[in-house]
Amino acid sequence: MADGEYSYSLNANGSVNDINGNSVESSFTTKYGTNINVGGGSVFARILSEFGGGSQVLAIHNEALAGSTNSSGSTNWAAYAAHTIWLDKINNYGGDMGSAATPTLNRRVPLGARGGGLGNPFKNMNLSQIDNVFQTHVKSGKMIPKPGAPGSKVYQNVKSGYSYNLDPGGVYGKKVEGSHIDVNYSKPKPKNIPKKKLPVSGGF
Amino acid sequence: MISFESEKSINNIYLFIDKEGIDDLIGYLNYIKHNNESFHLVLGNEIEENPIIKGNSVVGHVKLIYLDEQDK
Repeated sequence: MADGEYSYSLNANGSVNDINGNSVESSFTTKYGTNINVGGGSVFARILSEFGGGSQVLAIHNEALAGSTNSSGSTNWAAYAAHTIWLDKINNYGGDMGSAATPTLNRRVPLGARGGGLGNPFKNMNLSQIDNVFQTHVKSGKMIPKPGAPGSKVYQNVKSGYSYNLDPGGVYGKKVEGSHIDVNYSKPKPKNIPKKKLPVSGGF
Repeated sequence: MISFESEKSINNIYLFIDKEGIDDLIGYLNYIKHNNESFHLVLGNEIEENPIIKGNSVVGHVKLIYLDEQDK
């Protein structure tokens, strides 16, 4: 990366990795002299406000945090991670879960440096929890509900056209399909990659 | 273009499909066959939102599910 370009990714448990996937210590000092304490929401406010382009990401942080706070006032970090990734995608890539973009909180990573897949941010969440995340995006106008099979829910990203099928699975003959999310690409679809299937931890 | 439509009072489904839609559908079918998978066709994404025949109802969601010999 060029001088001054940093990227940190948030894990569901609240820990932080650097761009190389290495775990960041609980406390460290950046080259700009700012002390960073990992493990709480405020860390990202400080990280993001430190670097250029941080205002949009800070807004993402605040929105994600607001949508991930339990009634007791505690933060659901798994939901926060999902919120953050989604808001990042929706705001910057049109909600493209299938892109090669990295789930980063930093907008200064060159596109060419992003590689690999996004992984599955929902693997530790059930469909009800994920549905709550999607509903917040429906309320904000970023997604719209679509017709789905009985017992399932479908949402489409307004900006990208990608659709997300929250499918509880089922038993079809002797075939058993577990709960999952299917991500369908918008037109024009990439060749030979018709969809992305993301297993989840449980149904509705 | 792929359009699944039903006549309101008749238990009957039409599939209207153009050249590109046929290629797409073949791709979806080959995908579920080769991956032992399922695939959703969603209104406004894979499925046309407006019926070809006026008065017909569009089918809003179609799930293609591959069953191999052991699954039947």
